[in-house]
Amino acid sequence: MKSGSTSTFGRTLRHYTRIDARSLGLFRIFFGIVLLFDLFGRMGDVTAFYSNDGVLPNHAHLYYLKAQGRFVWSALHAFNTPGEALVGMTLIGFCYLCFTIGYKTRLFHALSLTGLVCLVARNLLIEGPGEPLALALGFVTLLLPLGSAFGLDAIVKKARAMRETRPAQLADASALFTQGEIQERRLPGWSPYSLGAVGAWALVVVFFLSLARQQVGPAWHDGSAFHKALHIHMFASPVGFRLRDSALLGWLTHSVRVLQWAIPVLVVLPVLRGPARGIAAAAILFIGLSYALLSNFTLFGLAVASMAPLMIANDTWEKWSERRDGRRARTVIFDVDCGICFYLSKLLRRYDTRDHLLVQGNDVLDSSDEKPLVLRDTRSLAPQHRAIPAGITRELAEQTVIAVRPDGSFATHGTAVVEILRALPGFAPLAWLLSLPGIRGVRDAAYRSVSKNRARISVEVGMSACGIASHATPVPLKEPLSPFRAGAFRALGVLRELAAILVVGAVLSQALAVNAVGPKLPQPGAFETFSWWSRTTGKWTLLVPEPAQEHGAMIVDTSAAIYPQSEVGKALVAKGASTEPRSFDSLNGGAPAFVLDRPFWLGGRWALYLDKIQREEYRTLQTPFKTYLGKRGPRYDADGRGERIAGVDGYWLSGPTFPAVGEAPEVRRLFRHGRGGSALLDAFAALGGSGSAPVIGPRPRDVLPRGEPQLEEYVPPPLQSPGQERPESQE
Amino acid sequence: MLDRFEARYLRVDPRAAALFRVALAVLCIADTARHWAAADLLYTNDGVLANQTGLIRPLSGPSFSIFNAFSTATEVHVLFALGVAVELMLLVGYRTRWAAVLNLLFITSRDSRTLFVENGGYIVQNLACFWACFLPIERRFSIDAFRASWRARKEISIADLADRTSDAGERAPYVSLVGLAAVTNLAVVYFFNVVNKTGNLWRDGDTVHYVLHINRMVTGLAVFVREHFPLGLLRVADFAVIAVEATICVCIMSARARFAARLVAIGLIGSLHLTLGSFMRLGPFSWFLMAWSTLLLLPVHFDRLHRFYERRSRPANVEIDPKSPLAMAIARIVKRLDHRERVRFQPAQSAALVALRAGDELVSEPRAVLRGIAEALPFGRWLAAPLPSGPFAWALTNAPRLERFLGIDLVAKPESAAVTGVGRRFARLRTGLREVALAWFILCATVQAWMDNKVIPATIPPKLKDGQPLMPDEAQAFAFLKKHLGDTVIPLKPARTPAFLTYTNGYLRIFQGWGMFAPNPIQDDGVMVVDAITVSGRHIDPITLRTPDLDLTDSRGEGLSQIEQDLGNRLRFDRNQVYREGVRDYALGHHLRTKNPDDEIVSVDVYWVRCKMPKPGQRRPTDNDAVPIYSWRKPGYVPRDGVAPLPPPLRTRSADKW
Repeated sequence: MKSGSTSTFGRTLRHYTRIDARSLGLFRIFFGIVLLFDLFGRMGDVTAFYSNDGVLPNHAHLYYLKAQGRFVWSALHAFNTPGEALVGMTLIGFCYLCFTIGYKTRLFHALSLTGLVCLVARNLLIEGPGEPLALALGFVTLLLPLGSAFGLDAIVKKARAMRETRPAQLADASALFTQGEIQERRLPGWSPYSLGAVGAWALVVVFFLSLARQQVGPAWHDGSAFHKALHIHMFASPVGFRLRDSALLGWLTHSVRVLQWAIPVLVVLPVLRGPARGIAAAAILFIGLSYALLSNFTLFGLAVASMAPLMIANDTWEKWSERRDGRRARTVIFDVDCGICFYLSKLLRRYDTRDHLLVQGNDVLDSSDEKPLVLRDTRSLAPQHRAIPAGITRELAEQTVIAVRPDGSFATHGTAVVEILRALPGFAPLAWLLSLPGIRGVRDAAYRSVSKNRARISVEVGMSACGIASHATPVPLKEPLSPFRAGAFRALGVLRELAAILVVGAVLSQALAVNAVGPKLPQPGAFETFSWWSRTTGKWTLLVPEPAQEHGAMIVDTSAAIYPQSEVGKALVAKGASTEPRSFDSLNGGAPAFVLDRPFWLGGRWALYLDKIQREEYRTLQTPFKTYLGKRGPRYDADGRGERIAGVDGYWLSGPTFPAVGEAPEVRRLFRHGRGGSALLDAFAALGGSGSAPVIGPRPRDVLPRGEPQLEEYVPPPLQSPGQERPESQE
Repeated sequence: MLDRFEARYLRVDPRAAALFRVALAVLCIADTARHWAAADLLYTNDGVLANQTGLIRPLSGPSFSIFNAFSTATEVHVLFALGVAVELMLLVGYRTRWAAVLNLLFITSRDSRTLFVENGGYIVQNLACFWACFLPIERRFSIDAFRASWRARKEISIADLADRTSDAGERAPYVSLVGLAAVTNLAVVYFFNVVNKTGNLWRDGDTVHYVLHINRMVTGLAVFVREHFPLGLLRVADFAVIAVEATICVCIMSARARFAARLVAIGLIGSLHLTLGSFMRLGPFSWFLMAWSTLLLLPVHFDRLHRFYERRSRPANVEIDPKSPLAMAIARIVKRLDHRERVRFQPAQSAALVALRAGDELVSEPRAVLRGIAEALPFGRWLAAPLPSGPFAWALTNAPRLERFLGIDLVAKPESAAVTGVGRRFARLRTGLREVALAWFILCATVQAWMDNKVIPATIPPKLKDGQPLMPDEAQAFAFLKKHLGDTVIPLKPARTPAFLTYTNGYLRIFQGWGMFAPNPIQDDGVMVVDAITVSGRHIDPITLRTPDLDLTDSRGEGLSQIEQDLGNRLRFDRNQVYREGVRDYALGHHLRTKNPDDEIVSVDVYWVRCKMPKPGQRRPTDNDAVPIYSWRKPGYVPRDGVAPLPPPLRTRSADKW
């Protein structure tokens, strides 16, 4: 299929098999930021969830997986201490960052996905609905050209294709490649169409259909779904908790319900594609941000929101990139002797798709013409020759870049930079940022510093300065390509599409298998294996068929006192701190209380973990949790505070989300560690609490595949050379 | 003086480094293959040490192993395949620096995963791979060097081919602290191997006798020697070992007569370790030290070698059609392989694209041309011998088509941009950081050597165990110290290993304790034998797949691999008894590995079978003792008809001491 096909079939097919490079670039930035945001959250809980000091040490997780009969793979299983885990996470963060900025995009996309798989598979108890969605999204877009726009790779590619070798050519339109030339420069095997694009659309459709078809409970019909959901203790984010009785929630429920049905329709609509996709993008953003803001499942909401850029149609981008505003037109006068100024001017031309800018060297000031300066007309943006405005002198132009407005007024230094940025599509937010008070001063200082040293910098980076010859060489329209290399590129293109079939097929067949969308796709062994190892196995369902009517909370009654023998404790005692035991809830640091009606601050990962760990099916993983609470909590570290925990009581509080008047929640004591807590004993008795037989405790031996050894301090054996006799002391 | 120090100790010849890389990579591949074969036993979750067990009960202090993230057999095999791929990259010098770093991660991870089988040889391997990360291993004999040269310059005329100045950069010596570190570390290995041998058996000359009777380790050659060589000769060998090790150390560090001294060191290292490696199954120890010794080669050695080679080789005058892109491409390849400039290129006088001129005779037959060129290149005679000349002939016949297909042309390459100021600064910064890191690692290695070697006592005077006998010279030394120090005790080593050492050397497992059979060799032999009974009543050792043999006195070498013998030798200690369940778990998977239901294991007894080695002059070991260290019976097992019932579980004993 040729890209220029104009038949209805061709247009329709193009519509579904192609995603604009700018949409993909924007998606990459959104998705990368989501991944980074998620990673920072996980780093905050690195001790609890990713180290052997936490609630699920690597060996305990591996024991559990072995007992389950199937392993998952995570490189983070090899990391033991919080420090080691942090190093691992930093490496993952580096991959995320490179992916976000579009540096070696495909490589870092793959590495980022591997990193996310590692983060997810290291602790299956905190695997929520957001993780499989983010992974599915990452995998179906892996074979799409996410680095073709808005990234470092794209900038480098543009820079390498800059054909101007002299400042005079900056006014020459032929220096820019035409669309035809761009097509001609493409490598064999390149195609704007990909099965990956089909996969991305299908994923969006299946995802929203899945939600829409399953959220069918009465609460979704009467508009109370979000109101009820935000009364679930561990579901609502602190913001959601505040808004849980807002009148807006009824409107939000109906909107979300309608939009979830509408989005699949808008995506597949063969007519009015630009507006339809635009509406779909806005709707997706709205739904995603709503979930992210109101619920504790932030990754789920943000992953949904990051789908939005994929919806933006090619027509919309074209309109956006050509939307002209005469007020932003500027003529840029730069120093022709400055290599980096020339380089940046060339780059500016390529980003100025709205034709707002005209670039002229400062040698224009030496011109003998009466009207040497070319300015754009405010209305038509047509170039017009003008005389040099008063105030623009050779001396000034030697010192600074000058942005001349259509009316002849001009800006210099940092202000000129801001006005130039504002003229470029997509750079207005950066221009706005640089104009903020405070930042403005830094901006001007930085500009002055660079401007003053521009000749030196130019030479340092290998560009011309003050008459020194530049290394800029003419760029050919197309590098010669041998049939061998052309064949290799074509083969790579075919391989890419075959890989897309595997990835998209595996993700979609798994999605259809576990989410009640409709017909199931056949799921061959290779697909199933891929889904399992890539952790795209989970359900995306949230609040289905409607919000739960029961909820629960973990209450931890911890009794601790300052330990005068520790360094910190000694210092505290010296300052007069009391050594009397104090009681607190080590999950949140506050006073322990049997209260469900309060915000849950620990976030989605703790919500998932606490909800699972109190269940019988996770009994084998409860001991490490108790050990963890015996030393610290999510926001509490006994050693750091110079304290020693005397005892902990763990309670599970449960009850209806909307209790009847006078109805008290049910409370179970899950475990007692050490001497137990002291603050809630009376309240527990008053509530008629059950659970004298602890749920969490020594595990029956027959439950495990084999006895799990207890942690104990191990003295490493000394190193031996071959044949070396062991010292008698160790014999 | 500084210049002399730099010239003697800081310079590394890129050719020596490249040779080291090739030797290292070949040995790493062989070693990986050895461990890969034992992957099911050692590295999978179903092996003798499941990853979760190793994680909850680490065998060492802080350590990191990426192998812990790989549980199933499939995962582990994928990891080994990746490891071999990295080592192949190192061998051919493709993305060499990355390959060296990844290889270090792979090797040290493999080591840290199952420390049961670690010995000094593994540390030698880790150290060699570690220093390789800093050495200029990619500059010569590598794809990276070839590609860099190919990209940097495109010869399009005979005059371009004659210009050899472009190769000067890659021949320049490499000055770095790594030169000092890598060579000195090798000398340190031998130094401590000499000074740690303070035992009476070394003094009496009985060590070789005892070593040759370690049936757990010896090969058939050692058995032959111990049975046929007189004791006097073995005693001579005993003192010769110490003398050789001392000589190696001196020769490596010698500042004078370096040409001869280094050659002597290389020769002695080769002889010593070839002997040791063919007599004992010690794993990587001998072979990696031999590979390491290639770093001792100096530029003068290569120059002599080249002169020798120039006398032996036949120069080639190659006539090239300068208008043929294919002929020029062939000439470019030949030029890059011809570092000794034995090939001279001339414009073609005939219609042949590539021909050889020998006096007035012109050879254009492809096979003869190929052979003639190969004979002028280093090792070309042997390397080109197996190459068929057919493709070469076909290429010359179909030159235009091939040129079009591969895009070979004679268009001049645009001059590449000179290195920018920023590039130069960045390179300087990188070099500075590298040297700072090396200084740190040298400091850590020095402190580690101080801490790890028993010859350096923890205090002066050294602490004696109750009733410890002293040699007369030792007694004199103690008396001297008592007289001058009184009751004063001077500490020489900190009570605990400093944290910076733990984190720098511990994670990479690059220790510096060297004492092969020191202070004395062991005098009692032992092997672990697993006596498992299958459901069909057969006795089998699921690890060696042999019939269990509980008598070691008639042994003429057990034929165990280094992995099998060290695994048993570590599991026998009481402190490792918690890991013995892993042997049972591995045994229980026997029928799954053989795919024979009759091989299902119903009983497992693990023994440490030991005996006293014969005294010098005697032939046969004595005091055979099969110590049960683990016993298990399948609960509820009822034997089939005709199969004997299981014996009752054995009462286990300690195998730590006699």
